[in-house]
Amino acid sequence: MKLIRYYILGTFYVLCLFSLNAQSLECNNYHKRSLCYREAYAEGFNYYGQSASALAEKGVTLTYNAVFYGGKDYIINLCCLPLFEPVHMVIYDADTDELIYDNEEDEYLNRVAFTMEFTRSLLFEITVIGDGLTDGSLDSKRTCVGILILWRKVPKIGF
Amino acid sequence: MKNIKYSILLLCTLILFSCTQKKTSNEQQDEAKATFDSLMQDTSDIFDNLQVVMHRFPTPGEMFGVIKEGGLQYYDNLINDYKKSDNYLNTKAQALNLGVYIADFAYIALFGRQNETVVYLEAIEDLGEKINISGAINESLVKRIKSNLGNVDSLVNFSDEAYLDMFSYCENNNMHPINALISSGAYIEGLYIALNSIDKYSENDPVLEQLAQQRFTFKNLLAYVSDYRSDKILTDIIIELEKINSIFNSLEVEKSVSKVSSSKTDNKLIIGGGKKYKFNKKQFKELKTVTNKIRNSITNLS
Repeated sequence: MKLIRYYILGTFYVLCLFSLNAQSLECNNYHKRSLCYREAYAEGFNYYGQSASALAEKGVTLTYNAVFYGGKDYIINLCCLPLFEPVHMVIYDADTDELIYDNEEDEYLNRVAFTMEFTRSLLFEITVIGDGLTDGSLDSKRTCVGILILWRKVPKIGF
Repeated sequence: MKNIKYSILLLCTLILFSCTQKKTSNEQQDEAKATFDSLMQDTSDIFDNLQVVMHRFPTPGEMFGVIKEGGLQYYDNLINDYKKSDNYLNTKAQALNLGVYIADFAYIALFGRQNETVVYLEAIEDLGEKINISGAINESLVKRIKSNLGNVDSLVNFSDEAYLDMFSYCENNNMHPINALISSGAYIEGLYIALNSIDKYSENDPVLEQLAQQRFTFKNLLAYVSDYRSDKILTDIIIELEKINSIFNSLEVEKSVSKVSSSKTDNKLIIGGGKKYKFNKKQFKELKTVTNKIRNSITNLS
């Protein structure tokens, strides 16, 4: 009886691992789905190839490193299911560790537009806060999170 | 990753089977609950352990686009002959040269060279099939490319899409070392083309200025490839990428502002400051020599 219970638990454990992998795959290109893209669309901006998606868990910080060219305007749009909002985003300079932006100062804005003067490698720390979540299973604390990045060349100012 | 999973599974199995004493029904229930909680905590710990830094870098098309803003020109003698795709016989040579052709395709697309587009696309499809990532090459994308040969903007977008689809496919199918080889081949080819489009060193050459900013791209690429350094197929390419990276690391800082300034204007941040890097003549020559050597060793592989 005891052995059977252990086997069931063992099987359940293995299934958990598979489930985690399957959940990760479900997040593939989440940032390209309509919810994220529609909200982020901006005239004159193009899709930037370093946009990404990942499986996130409430309270667990994901770290993402991307290159941003100088002389460009960027829009960063964070998206996940509304229940998991807000999403905390902190941006650092990857070379110097200097803090560049923390969206907590702006009540967890999920859309940030910025102009980059010189090329930098930026480090993003993304944490799903999920104020609307109640205690439940681990699966219910996980969601796909997308970082959609749009860019354009800084337009010339003047006549 | 597999090793971690297997080790934890083995550990859990040992823990489960180490409990051999007979216990009362309640004790058994408590024990089962405790074991269950512990297992769930283990899956949560595995999730935590997966939180490594995810390194990304621009597509070859995006890199060329930025360098073109500095005045990059098209030279057809710089791309790798598409007829050589049949010469690449092992997985490493095929993956590296698939990357080379992806960069060539992006370069061709950026300059609207219609005649070359189709043959290079076929070389990409051919090598993709040989390394078993044909599933990444979307048939409808190939059709769209072939029917939009006259539209430069569309071709550039398609070349980015093709690279990103391939990258994403390899990531989702645990083919990270293959991805690392393809990306390395692509960026080495991109660097080779950009460096060899410059005949003579000039301190204020805008192409060279844009090229210097690619140090960040190479740093991220090396970080990504190094994440899979335990795979022996990557040993040689990591050594080569480190050579390129060390030259990029030696670049001089042309303009530096010690403090990052972020000011808000119209709900937009202005991320000012930072550093602008530049090549001196010696670094330019050294990078060109090293890159040419690495690139030619890749395209001459068999």
